[in-house]
Amino acid sequence: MTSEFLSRVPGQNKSIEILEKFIDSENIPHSLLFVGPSGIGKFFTAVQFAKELNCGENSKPSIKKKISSLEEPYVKYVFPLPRGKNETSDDSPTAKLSEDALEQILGQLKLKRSNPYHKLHIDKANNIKISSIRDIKKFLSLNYDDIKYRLVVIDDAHLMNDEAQNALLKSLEEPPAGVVFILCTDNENLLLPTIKSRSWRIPFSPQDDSTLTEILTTYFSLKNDSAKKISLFSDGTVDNAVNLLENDFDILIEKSINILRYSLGKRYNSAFTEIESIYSDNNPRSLQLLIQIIIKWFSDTVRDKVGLEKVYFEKYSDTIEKFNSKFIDTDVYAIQNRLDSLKSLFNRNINLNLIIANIIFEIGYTGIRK
Amino acid sequence: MEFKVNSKDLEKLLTKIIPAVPTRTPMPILENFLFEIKDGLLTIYATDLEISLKSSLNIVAEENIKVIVPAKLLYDIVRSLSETTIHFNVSESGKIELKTDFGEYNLSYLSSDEYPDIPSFPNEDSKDDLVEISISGLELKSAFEKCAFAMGKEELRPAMMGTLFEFTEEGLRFVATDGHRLVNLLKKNIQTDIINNYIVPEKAISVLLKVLDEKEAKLYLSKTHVSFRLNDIELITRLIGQKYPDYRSVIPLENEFQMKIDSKELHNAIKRMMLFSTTNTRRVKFAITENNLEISAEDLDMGASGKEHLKCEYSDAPLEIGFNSAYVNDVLSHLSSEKKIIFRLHSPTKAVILHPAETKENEELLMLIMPVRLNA
Repeated sequence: MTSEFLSRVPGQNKSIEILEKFIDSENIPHSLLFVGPSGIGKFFTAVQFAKELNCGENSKPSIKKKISSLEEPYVKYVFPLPRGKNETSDDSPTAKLSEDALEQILGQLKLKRSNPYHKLHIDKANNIKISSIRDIKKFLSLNYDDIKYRLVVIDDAHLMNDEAQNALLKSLEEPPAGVVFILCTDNENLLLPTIKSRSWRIPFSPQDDSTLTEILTTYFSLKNDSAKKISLFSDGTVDNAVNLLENDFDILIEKSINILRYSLGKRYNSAFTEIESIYSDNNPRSLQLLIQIIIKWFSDTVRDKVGLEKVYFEKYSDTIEKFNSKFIDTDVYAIQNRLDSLKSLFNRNINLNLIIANIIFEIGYTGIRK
Repeated sequence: MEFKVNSKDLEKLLTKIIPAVPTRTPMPILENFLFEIKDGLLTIYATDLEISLKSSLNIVAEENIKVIVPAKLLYDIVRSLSETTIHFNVSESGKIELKTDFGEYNLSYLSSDEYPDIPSFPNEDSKDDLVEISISGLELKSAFEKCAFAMGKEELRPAMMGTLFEFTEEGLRFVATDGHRLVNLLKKNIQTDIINNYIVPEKAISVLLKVLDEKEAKLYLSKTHVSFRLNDIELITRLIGQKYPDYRSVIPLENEFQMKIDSKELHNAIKRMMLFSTTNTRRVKFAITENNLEISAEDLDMGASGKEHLKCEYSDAPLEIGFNSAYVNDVLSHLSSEKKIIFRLHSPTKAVILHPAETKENEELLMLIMPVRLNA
């Protein structure tokens, strides 16, 4: 069977195939675990799956619209929320939130409805509250025999704490007829084994560059050229692409080249000023992206060395050739590894100035060692 | 298009249906009323997806429209007006103008497309299994008043978060329990020719308690919904789709000891004992001997205790039994209309049955409390 709705999900052919098989066999597991990096279409697949299940030939056209706008009872969308002032676990998930927080949530949901690849940005939304899980249970208890399938989509499911996960177990194991749970996560290790063993794991992989370009042009209205360019640096996820976009991709590339040039040329002070100009707004995210770009630049030097075509920095091939002629015996992989480990330090609250210095000297060290 | 309506009539109507409008919901569309004008009948709807309320008013209007308007704002305006006529002018541009003697007010409206569907009964889809019955509003209200307090609040057992309507040959039986206490009320005068069970969620019951009056209530029961059509308002709720626990198996049959006692006296004594019972266990001890009931409570942390003696009619073996005083208080306050009540007991660890001493012709009321262990 070719599916009407699932086939509209870009990429993810393997995962889609599994879901189509479920539909063909008319035997849908109670709980599905969508695993894969953030920003590759897990949520979109879940929504399309909901449509595939509920929108048969004889169904009302309004159902499709309701699913797209994440309307109960067809879709129950659960996501991390901030905690309100004086909130106790007996309050409803949104009862004690401030006006501002609520407005932000509504705004983000609106974006999510119009663009399934949008990532929710809600301040201080660090976990899925146990009151949200209670909400699910209430939703499950009512009689919805008139509706074929109800989907409970839990986004960032790993952000449920242990109590919330335990509270979910019973519903997950024996939901009422017609209820399908979809847990989306990019970190399945944080889920309890009991949750994982109750769910059918469906892996999602990063998109290839052309699919990502397609997504970026369709859902983020980028021009084809710039979408293509950004896709190259995004490791196949929309989230990375959006991050690059938000941090002025073109300038970032140019600055990376400058930083490389200064660091390798032992002009450390200039390198330092250059980096500081990137993160002036105290946003460590741009530094992370910078490291990522530099690592990619080093991969291109390796390609150049073995005579392969350069992938990322076609435009700056002169810098790469110059590097390769000057630093013949450099162990590029070692630098890449060290830069990569620097990237992980951001999560540990390391002083940013220290990281900046480390980036510069890691690169500069290559020049001295030869 | 234009229509006009008396402000007090509208206020009365909105006051009735506003309980179904949720606040702070992630679905802002629900914070609106749906206005439907069809052949001179204005029907206003509100829903939180679990319960829906609707109510109608006759108006003079030439066109039929369907729009959604911000519920709270409209309600607050209408409520703050003294008696006057409100002229509604719904323009094409998405604005509603309200004109009164005092001035003009503008609201924005939205298209009704996005408003959730509200089922109406009787309808085509559920024609086959739809059941229609009529019950006096007061009967229904008194039944809810007796049952509502015992409904469970824990999501762990969702079936208990509602009241069971059990249609039997003897009449209509209402059952509510949270696992600690149980109310079982049989209304013999509500006779129907159906035999079936429905569980009505707590929210619907609490809203109905506020709106039921002496008028006849018409119930439409389908597989998934129940609709209560009262005089001027209709409440539609989804039913709870779970199996109700087998409540009969917890009602003991062999409770042979009987204690007859004045309900008011006991209730007052319990209220006083509640002051002395430990805050977390709220335990109160009943020591029953011949024609004498001693109730006592103590709070060891505070070093406080209380004891009272009450007269009762009891002629069986002495018995000591503990209860959660809050539960006893709840049960007694819902038996306050009875002069004498009977406790039927068996042992300190067995459930205790309470019922009025006088049996009524049309109803059988039975309440049950689980005891707490005295020396645990």
